[in-house]
Amino acid sequence: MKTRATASGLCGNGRGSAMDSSANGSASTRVLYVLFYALLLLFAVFYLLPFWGALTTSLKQAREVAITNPLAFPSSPTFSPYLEAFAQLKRPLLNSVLITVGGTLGSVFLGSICGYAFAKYRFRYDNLIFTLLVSAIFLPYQAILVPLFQTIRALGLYNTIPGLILVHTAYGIPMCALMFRGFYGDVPDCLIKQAMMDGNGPWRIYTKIVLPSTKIATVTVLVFQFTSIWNEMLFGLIIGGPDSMPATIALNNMMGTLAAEWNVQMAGSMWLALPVLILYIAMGKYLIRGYMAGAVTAS
Amino acid sequence: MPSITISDMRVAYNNGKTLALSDFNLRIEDGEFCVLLGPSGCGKTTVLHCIAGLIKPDSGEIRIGENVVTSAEKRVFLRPQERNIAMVFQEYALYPNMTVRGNLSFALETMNKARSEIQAKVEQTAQMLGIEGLLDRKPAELSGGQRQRVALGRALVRDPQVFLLDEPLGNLDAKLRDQVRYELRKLQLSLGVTTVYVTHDQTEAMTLADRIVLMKDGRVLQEGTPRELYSEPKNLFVAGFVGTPQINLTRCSVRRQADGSGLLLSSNCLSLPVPQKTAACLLASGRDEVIVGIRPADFQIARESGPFSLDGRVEVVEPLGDAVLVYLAIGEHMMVAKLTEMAEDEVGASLSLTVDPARIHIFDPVTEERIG
Repeated sequence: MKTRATASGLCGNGRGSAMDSSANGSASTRVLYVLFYALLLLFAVFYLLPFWGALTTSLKQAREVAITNPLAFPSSPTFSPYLEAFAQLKRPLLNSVLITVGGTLGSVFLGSICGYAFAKYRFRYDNLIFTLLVSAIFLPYQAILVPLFQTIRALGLYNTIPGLILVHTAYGIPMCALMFRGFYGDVPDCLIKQAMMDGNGPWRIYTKIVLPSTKIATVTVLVFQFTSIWNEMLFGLIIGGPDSMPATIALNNMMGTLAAEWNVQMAGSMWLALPVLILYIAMGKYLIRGYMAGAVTAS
Repeated sequence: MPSITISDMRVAYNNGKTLALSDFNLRIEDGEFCVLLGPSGCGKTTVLHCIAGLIKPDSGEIRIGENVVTSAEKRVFLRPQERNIAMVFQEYALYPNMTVRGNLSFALETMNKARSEIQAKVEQTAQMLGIEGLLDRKPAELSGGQRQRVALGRALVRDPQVFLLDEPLGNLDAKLRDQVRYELRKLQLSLGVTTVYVTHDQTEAMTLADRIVLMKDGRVLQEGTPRELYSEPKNLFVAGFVGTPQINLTRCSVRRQADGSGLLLSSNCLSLPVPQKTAACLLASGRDEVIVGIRPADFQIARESGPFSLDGRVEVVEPLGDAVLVYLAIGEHMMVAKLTEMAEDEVGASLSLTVDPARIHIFDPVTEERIG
């Protein structure tokens, strides 16, 4: 009895304990309970299978890839595919880092001040402007490709990293502004008024009060934006040429040659997934708090 | 310290659809503790925000001392930071990312004061409010009362010309509220800062104010000392809003006394002679029916039932310690009396009360204005 109590204690959250109480009921509910978890487990395995396949394949020798089951353990694990993939993807990975860091910082910074203005200041047509801005989120990429390409080429930014940074920044602003507006809306108005009484203009209020009290919001948007720019392909394909190719495009190009080296290909995928994975693991606790809007209220 | 003069101010919200203030005029004297009192939505906070410069009125003028700080006609609008005003919000609005020290020094840093000067000023203010020990804590680590003090300190640290307080005691528990109220008054008296205080709590207003401005629907209903508002309410609303427990109101008809000596107010629960000086006004008003208000504290126990006594049955007795509140049923009317001399076990007993006719309030039932 005691062990069961501890076990349910470990489950912790509300749902877990609700489950426990039903599990203590009749035999049929206990069977359902087991079935439910078996089903969950099955789906978890099913969803993780491709990732597992990529991981084992990336650790295999080239000839082993061709003859074994893609899901089998490597007979003699090797890191050489990783080295080879890195050699091939070195330049695109660097491009990706530059583009992502530049695009993320640009869009998060501009989106943040934009969201701040829309959340805390009333001006003529503010709602109309905001609606127009946000509607850009729902605009399909493909619809703007041709004019975008023309514009970037006219600016002399085709096949350059600044060109891609510019595109990602511009395209990221609406989403960032929308998210930040929600977060900043939770900052009490009286805090802004108080800061005004204390002699501060909008900019100082933003840097001294709003930003420091909504760090979780910034982290959340930063991670979101980093992930979407890092994983992005279409702009990289259209605006980026051979010199500014991001890793997502380069990875696909690796396959396009005579024969695909699946182990190198998969190792490349791992390299590509690594920064995002690290980011999620490191920032996970902030993200969960950030997604729950109330967590950023200032008081 | 300067006075504040507000003339013909008008503020509308929702693109002019909701009128918050109309033709609002007010003068707050130098060093005065002025309380804006009224039910929620009466526009009192709007007045405060206009003085602070957080709201731009549609028309009218505000002067602090001789300085015009807001004038729609002259197109003058000083920003909040240019008015040397400090404000305390009900929510305290402490900067959550800064320590108490940071909160206190923030405004001074904005003014680019010297480090040593800021340090000294912060220490001095903290000492005055007894929060020296809290200087390195964050607001989240403070209790309600402590946050309140920090908010006050943040306002005081700047040596403002004018002190604006928006329901600063609203979030405190009852005991703390009394204490802070006392301290606030003491502080204001010693500093002599012109203070505007907004509240919906009439007890706070009565105890703190040099002068109360009672507002309703964006207009001033009556202004005066707490005593004036209590003893000579201009209309029914003021009479009902000021004073606890609430004033007893009852409809009476006006009649001539049988011996022709004067006027008599009578209803099915009471009968009272009209004092000489109000009789003339009552006659001039031409009403034969009026509303009579009697403050609970103006009742006395009658030794015996007489022609002008109110006789009823005690329904509920609420002991207050120094006095008792008696709910007296007279016919279908209920009167509340605050008595100092009653035993507390008389529920169900019959009781006769008298009231000095000079202390009753008479109101016109149509205009709701005071008569006499």
